[in-house]
Amino acid sequence: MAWRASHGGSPTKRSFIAAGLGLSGTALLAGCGKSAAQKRPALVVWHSYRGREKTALEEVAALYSAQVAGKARPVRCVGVPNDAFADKISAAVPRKKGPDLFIFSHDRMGGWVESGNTVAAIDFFLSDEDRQGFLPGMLDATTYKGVTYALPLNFKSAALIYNKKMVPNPPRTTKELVEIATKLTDKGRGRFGFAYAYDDYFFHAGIGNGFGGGAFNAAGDLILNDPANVAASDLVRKWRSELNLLPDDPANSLVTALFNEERAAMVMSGPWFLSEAAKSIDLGVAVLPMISEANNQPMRPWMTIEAIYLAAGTADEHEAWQFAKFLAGPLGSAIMAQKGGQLPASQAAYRVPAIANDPIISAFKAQGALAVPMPNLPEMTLVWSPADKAMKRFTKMETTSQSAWNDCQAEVQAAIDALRASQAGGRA
Amino acid sequence: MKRNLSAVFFALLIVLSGALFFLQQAAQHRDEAASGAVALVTASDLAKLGSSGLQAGLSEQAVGSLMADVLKRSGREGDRYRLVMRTGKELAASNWPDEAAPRPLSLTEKPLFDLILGLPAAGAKLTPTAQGAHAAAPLVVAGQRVGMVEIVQTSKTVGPALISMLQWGAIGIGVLAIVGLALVQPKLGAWAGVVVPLGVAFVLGQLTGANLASTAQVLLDNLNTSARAIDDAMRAVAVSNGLALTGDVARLDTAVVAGAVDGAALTTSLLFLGGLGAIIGAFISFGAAASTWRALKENPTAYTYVAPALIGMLALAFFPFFYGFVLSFTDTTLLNQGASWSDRWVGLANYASILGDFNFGGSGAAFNYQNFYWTMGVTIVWTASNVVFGVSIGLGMALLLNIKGLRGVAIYRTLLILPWAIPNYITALTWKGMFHPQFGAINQAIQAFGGQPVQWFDAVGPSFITGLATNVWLSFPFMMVVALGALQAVDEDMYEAARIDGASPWQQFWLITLPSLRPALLPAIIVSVVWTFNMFNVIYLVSAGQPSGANEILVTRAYRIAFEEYRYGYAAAYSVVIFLILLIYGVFQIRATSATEANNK
Repeated sequence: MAWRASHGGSPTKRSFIAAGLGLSGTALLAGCGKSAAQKRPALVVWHSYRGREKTALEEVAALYSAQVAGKARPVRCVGVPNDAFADKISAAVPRKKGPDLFIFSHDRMGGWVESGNTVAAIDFFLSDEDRQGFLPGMLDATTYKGVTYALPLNFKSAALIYNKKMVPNPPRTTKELVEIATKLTDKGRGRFGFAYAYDDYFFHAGIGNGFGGGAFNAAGDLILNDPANVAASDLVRKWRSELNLLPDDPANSLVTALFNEERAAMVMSGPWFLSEAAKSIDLGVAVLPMISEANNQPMRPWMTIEAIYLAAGTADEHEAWQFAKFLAGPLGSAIMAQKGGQLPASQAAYRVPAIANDPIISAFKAQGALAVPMPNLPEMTLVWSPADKAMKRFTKMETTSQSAWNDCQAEVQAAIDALRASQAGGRA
Repeated sequence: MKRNLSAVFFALLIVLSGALFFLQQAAQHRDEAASGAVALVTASDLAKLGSSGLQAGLSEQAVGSLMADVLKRSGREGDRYRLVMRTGKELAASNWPDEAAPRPLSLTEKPLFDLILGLPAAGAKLTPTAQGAHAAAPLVVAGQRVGMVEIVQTSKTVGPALISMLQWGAIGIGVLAIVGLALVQPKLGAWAGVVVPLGVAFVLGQLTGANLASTAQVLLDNLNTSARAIDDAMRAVAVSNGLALTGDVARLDTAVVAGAVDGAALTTSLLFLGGLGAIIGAFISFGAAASTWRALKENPTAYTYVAPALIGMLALAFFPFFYGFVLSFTDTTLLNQGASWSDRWVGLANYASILGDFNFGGSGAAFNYQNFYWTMGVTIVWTASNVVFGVSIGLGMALLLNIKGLRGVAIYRTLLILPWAIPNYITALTWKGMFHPQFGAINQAIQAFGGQPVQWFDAVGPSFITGLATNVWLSFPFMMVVALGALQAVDEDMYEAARIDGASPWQQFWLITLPSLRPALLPAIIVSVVWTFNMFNVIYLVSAGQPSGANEILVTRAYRIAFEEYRYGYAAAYSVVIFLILLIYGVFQIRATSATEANNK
């Protein structure tokens, strides 16, 4: 926008361009340019937090603003509803109407980088020391094509959540899992040893990744019908349809209800489940079992990482960076963990005894070390719906896993090709 | 006469000011591309030299002085260059005045560092700036972008004008001739306001196209001479320093100039402009403008009152509609939103792809439920069955409630209106729960009566029924209220007369009740068809189109294309198709209804 504005305003070769349309266009562009250069009285941070997370973030912002008072601008936090967040960012930031910083999960990052003018690269500010301050793998999630765009704040991944009364010792392998589940399951009476939304690709991915599959390989090619993914799917099919261990049509609400009514002893879910679980149940969190059918490889569930981004074109990137670093740093992450209940991505937060000694946090941290960040490729969003469809097809025995994934691979690949074709056309 | 002249004047004003803007933009793009082409060659040559220098173990400063040498030998000392290294975040060399190198980059120089990250690993990037063409290319060692060289070329290349003064003069004479002719022949006068803008736009388009083609080669030859000079200088420097270079001589082809200015698109834009001018000309010369002005002047108060609503409609309804309509002619997706409209323009390709989708799967593959015609068929069956059930149940309930002397009518009526009063997504989610194969109320009821549980979402039919049941539940209260209101207005005398004549209750229903209900029910049915056709919530929340998207309706499919596949342009075209279907339905329905209304009178 900046260079176009300067072109419209500069004396050009044709002296007779002072015509109606030309003038109004110039004025419009010049207007945009001006509003971009303006520095706001405060650094604006968009977030979608509510409740205690919101309070914790505001506390960190107040702390930072007090520390830098007189030297830098204070921080103002603005809540934006979560379901509209990503689209608002895509629409507002390139038009210079957005915030200076924003907090969102890492999975939309690739799309923002590809569409341009949305997120700013931060490698320039990021020192090696800064990099070592995060848990291993966290920065990989916020790195796209070799460039880092955001600082990780916290992570969420599925783990094994179990009812301690019904399962004293959580299973370490899927063989043990099946043994315990077989003992506890009475499908006719609606009782299950193990329940999870197995036809939801998000939860299934832990098993698929454990087998060595996944949605994309390292080169970014789609590998949905890879033999590893098919083997993982056959395992779930066996649990559901041969051994009859899993409930039909398992929506997340059903899984929660089963667990809360003590009709399901173990579930696969993430930290968000803890606030839904009945307070009367003595629950424990453990790392997901190793897959006996895949040489005892661990399950590698997908991890989403919430990160703080610098919006492209913010008036003072260095000032914005300083707040991002403060929030992701030792002080900020400790407050967000203790008061906001988050699982921090920063190493330093785990030096706080109250965090380090919490068994639930420790279990999720151990699971996080085994988890893999959800791909941040823009193509990933095209996978969800067809993959869920494929999951339903083969879990309901409509077709084999192989043919369900073959169809899915073809469908997603066609969608990806259509998307990439538009990009090639647009950039030519 | 005066009106015809002002029509020509305003139409020409629009066409000329628009054309001047387009032509100025086109000339600017062409000149930027021409200046930039040389800058691009310079940057990528220097980067090539730099990469091989670094690979050969030269220091960054030594590489910097090699670059200065190339610029000197090729006589381009006016060009400014910077060498920026990724490790150490360092400005290694520069020939900008008052810029010391080597030194670490300052905080304000972050854009230079970010440029390294933003460059493609092979090739270079061009950004026109106020100072001149600005090109950058990465230094690549072992596949890694280790740094970049940036060139700002301060001298500009200026090509010839797209329309010469002589050509402008000829156009002027042509316009005068037509206007003169119109003055002599008053009958034709009004058409001058249409012919002149279209003609001018057409001629401008043809002339620009011809001029672009003839000047491109001249421009290109000049550019290639400059590029050759840089290339030769670079090779000489490489040889004298014992560096091996890979790759060919950089050569510019017609694509550089042709790519910058899309002649065909320019001609189309000019024609559109001519059309716009012609519409305005016709608006004035055929008297519409004058009568609009008169109407405004005669009823100022009325228009003042209407103005807020009009502006609201324009901003909230017509603008989004128009935007969506334009979007449907592009291939806009998540990844190319930022590109210009002309880059995204695909014409009718989206419509051709939607309406020409005859891939039904089969022959080994699964049936293609994503097919447009399947989805349209489902939508029509869905709409028809919903309206049939909604109307019959609503009407039945209304007849029951209308029984004379029925006790507790108020209570029944309140209870029956309840489904309507509850937000439909809550109802939808409740029904989804009730259809759960194991824990849902419906299968438990079936089992209580000794039946087999139904896997509701596993097959096309049962899954369709889940949506149908939910939506009928949601829609019958509306029909009931409408029918009840109309029933109470039916004259009791008619039934009495019918009974005296010996009509059976069945005959009374068909010959008195139904015809009396028609004026109230028909509009309700029309509205209901449109609502059901686009009933997003129920489909999306209850069956979500299961199995395999077979129960998707057009509007949920459009949603998935837009927000799951991120193909905004295609989704917009899909929505326009939905709109057209409903428009056709609406037109026919209104014709049919007004015909029956006329017969009744």
